[in-house]
Amino acid sequence: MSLDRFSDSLQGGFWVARSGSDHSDFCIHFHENKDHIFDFALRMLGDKQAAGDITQDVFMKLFENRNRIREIQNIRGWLFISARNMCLNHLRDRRKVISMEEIDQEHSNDSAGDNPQLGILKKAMAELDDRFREAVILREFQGFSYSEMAEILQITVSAVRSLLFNARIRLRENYEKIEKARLI
Amino acid sequence: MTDCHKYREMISAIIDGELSENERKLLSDHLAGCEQCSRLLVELREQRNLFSNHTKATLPLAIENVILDKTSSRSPRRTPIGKFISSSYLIPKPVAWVAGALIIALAVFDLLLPAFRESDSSGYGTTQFYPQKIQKVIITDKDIVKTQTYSEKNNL
Repeated sequence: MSLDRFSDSLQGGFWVARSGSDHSDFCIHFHENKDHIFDFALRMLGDKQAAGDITQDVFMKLFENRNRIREIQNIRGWLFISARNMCLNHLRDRRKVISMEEIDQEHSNDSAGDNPQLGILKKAMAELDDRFREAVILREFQGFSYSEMAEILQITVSAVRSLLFNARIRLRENYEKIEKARLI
Repeated sequence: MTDCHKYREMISAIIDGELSENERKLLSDHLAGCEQCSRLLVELREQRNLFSNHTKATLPLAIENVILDKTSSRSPRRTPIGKFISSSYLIPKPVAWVAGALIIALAVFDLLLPAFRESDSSGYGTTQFYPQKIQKVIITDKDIVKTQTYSEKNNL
C-alpha cells in the first residue's frame, strides 16, 4: 500500500465513519460561520451575487469533506482559507476593479449615510490592493489574531505585521486623497 | 528620529495588542522622543475606531436554504440504532464487513434449520440430523415368573 493510499485510508476510507462527521456536525459549522464567510467574500468582491456563490461553494466543499471534519483542527481557519482562495481566483478571472458605488450599495446597512467618514473609509478600502484589503478585512472586520491571519494567508507572523502596517498606511493615503477630492 | 520604520510597524502592532512586553518598552521610549511617530499612532487609532461602526453582512436566507437543501438531500439517513453504534465505536471497515457477514450467515442457518427438521420427520428428506430409534418393550407374565424365581432362589 503506497503512503498516499495509507494516508487516505486513515482519513476516513478505512474506518467506519462516526456520527461526528454527519450532516448535523456540518450544520453546526455552517450556522456558526456562514455570515462571517459571506461578509468576508462581500467585502473582498463587492458583489453580493458572487459573494453568495462563493459562500455556497465554500460550504459545499466542507460538506464534501464532512468525513474529515473532526480531523480539521481549525474549521473557521479552513473555511477562510477556502473562501480567500476562491475570492482571489474570482478576482483574477474577473479582472475588474470594484467600483466604489458598488461597495457602498452592498454595505448600505452600515451607517455610512450618517457618517461621512465611514463612507470615505469604504471607498478607500475598495481602492486597496487585494492583499492589503484581505489583511484589513481579516483583522478589522473578522477580528483574527496575527497568528490566525498567518495561517489563513500562509505567511509568517512577522510578515502579517508588516503587511498590515503597509495596508494601513495605504488606506490612510487613499482616505486623505478621497477626502481632499470631496472638499474640492 | 533614527530608524523610525522599525517603530512604525510596532505602532500598527500595538493597536492590535500584538506587541511583546519588551517591544512595548522600546516603542514607549521611542514615542517619548519622536513627534512624527506619536502622531502616526493617534491617526491609526482614529482610523481603526472608524471600523467599529460597521455592521456585518448576513447571508441571504435564499442562499442559506439552497445550501441546506443540497447538503441534506445528499446525506444518507441513519437509523437510531446505526447512529448509536457508529457513534460509540470506531472499528476498521474490514472487521465490520466480516462481522456483518457472520451475523447474516448465522441468521440464515438458524432460519433454515427448522425446515430440515420438518423434512426429516415427514419422511421425505434423506438427511437425518436427529436419528430417532423407537423400540417397543413388552413385559409378559413369563418375565415376572422368572423374576420371582430368581428372588426366591437367592432368598431375597
